[in-house]
Amino acid sequence: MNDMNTTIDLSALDHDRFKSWPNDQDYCVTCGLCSSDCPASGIDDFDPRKLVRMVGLGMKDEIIETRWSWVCTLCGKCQNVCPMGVQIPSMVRQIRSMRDRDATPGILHKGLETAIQSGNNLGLPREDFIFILEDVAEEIAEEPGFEGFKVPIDKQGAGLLTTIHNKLVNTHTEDLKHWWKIFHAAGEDWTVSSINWEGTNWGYFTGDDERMKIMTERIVEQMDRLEVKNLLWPE
Amino acid sequence: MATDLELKDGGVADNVVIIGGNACARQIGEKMEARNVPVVYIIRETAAGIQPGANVLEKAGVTDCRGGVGDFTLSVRQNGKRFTQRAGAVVIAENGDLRPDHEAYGLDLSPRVRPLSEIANGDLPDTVRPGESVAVFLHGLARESNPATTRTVMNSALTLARDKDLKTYVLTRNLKVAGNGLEKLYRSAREAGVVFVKFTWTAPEIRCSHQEIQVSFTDEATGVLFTLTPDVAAVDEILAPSPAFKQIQAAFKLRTDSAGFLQADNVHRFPVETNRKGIFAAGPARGLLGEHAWTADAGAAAEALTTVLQGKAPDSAHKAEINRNQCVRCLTCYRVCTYRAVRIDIARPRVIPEACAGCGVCAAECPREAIRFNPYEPSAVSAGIVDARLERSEELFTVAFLCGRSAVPAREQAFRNGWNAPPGLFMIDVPCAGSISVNHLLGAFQAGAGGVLVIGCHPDNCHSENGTLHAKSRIKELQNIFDKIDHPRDRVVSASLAANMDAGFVRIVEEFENRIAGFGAPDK
Repeated sequence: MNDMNTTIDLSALDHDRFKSWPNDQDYCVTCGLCSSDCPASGIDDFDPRKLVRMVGLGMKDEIIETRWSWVCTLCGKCQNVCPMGVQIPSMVRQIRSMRDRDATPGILHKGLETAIQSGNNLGLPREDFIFILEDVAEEIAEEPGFEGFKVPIDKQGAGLLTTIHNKLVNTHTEDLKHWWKIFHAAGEDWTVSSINWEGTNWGYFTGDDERMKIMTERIVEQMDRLEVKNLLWPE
Repeated sequence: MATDLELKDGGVADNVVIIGGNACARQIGEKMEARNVPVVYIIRETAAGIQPGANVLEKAGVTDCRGGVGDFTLSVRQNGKRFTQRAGAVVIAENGDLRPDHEAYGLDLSPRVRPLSEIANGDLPDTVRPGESVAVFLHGLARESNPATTRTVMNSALTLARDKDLKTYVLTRNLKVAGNGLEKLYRSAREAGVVFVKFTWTAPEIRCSHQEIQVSFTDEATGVLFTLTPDVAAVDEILAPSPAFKQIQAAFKLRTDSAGFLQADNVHRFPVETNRKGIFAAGPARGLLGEHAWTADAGAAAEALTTVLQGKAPDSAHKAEINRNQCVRCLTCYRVCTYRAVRIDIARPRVIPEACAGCGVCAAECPREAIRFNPYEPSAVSAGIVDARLERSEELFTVAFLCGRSAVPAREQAFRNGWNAPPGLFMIDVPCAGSISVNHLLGAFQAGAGGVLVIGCHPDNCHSENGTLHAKSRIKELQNIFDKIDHPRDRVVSASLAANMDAGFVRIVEEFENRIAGFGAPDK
């Protein structure tokens, strides 16, 4: 928080402000188990207990202002150890949702806007996406044991649809190969959609439930379109 | 279901006397009556609340208690009359006093600063306005909190927040919710909007004037500096011994704890025993508050009473016995006996075998050596040491006296862990370090010991209360003699242990052996 030395009249806070949140944060006994289990504890003075406590006391301005909710990776270790069953990641998302959208951290905000418009966080056109996938497939086909390997894009009625993390078609194309080789070796009947293939859901990470749903629905639409029953969403 | 107890034969009194008439006392009485054990209540007040038909001595008190388990004779005073009442066993469940603990918080009571029970009874200052006012509970900040008080605090905080619509805060250290329904109560209080602030290594600053109370603190979870200006502050109450406790303590000759409750701070007395066999302290008499604690104690007391009335209480294997021809009636035994097992019969002390716990402290303390405590007589023990010396060829011979409650179990564990006793060491198991007299120590040296070690319980953990202290003072006495004759004082050493300290036992013995080896074998 910015100014820890300011004195606050505790009884002037509205402690019931976040009572309707379904995260049981009010039952916190400040034991600190969450803080000792959190891999992000200590970053920028963050620890989960502080946020839970501030929400319980109703410190609205402070929890919106602080970077702490954005330091959290939503990994959920805190929730695993909480003796009072406080759902901390869900609470953190709720805090994130209270920020003005253009005040969410830069890359997340821009990426989500782009994804809503174009179908993926990079704004990568369909032709470019197909080109990159086929290029990677050709490289695999040159390796012994993978002769004739092809990437099955938009294969109707496949057994498995897999989403793609945008970084795998941007800076980490090598990582696509590991997945694909496993599918090949396992004889999996798989496919990848040429549109709305983005597996990363920055609506989820920014606490934007509405856009999270849009991104999720788009994946379900592809399953319907390609008549695939199983989804692999490696995110 | 009523079951007749099979009572111990031999003309023992088969009844129970209960001192007190509160809920704890009544539960004990009901449990004993259900087992067809006759119950007599002795109550300072009137018999309100006790079931009709019960045998109650109202407005009465005990002034003396003679005898031992199964055969106590109580001197009772009622309405200016004196009479005696026999008892097989006695349980004391006398009420303590609830006292506000404001002084520990540095506060004076005022219309704004109130004892907890007043707030709990809904007695709020006129200045309190529903929907606006702030209430603060100060709980467990000045001393360890009591779960029964925690229950009252949470119940009344819940009421203030929910029914009076007050902003309600509980400032506390550990909030102990490990009791029936306490965690549920915590959750309900939170749901009603009560805010709990826990202090672990800091404390709130409380300033109080006629106009207002100012509380400021740093919230330890967030590091935020908060202030509160409560319209009313409730301070903890603590249970204190009532004035009657002193009189009961004197009548029954009980050891008290530091606050004056009727059970000494000694782990061997838990849950309801006192220093006297067959006399028990339950509930408020031993400082406990709250319905649940009283119920638990009532159950424990009923079991303990039943056990002693059936003659099934564990008894010591060896009893002290006073030789009347040697006794000069100095009454040292009477004074030192923790268990009150020495009675004075027509100006002569006599040991009550049923009450004797077999610690041997009286025998070791008797200046006339008039108390026999077989098989631990100094002559017998010394003869054993002479034999042990003859069996050993080692140059250096040492002797250790080990208390059966601490050093012996520690040694047994050390053996199980593979420890090998030094071959020149002869160990003697005794019931209590306090049974070792100067004669025992000198006997060991006369038999050729280069060093003597006495290991007892830690001083606050001694079953006979002062056994370790007696042992230490005798060793000091002998060391002073050694100083005068220019003999190394550390050839005789005392140490204390807990029963689970096997590694500590090995270390003490090794240090002792090394030290004595440094002195070398004694001159022949």
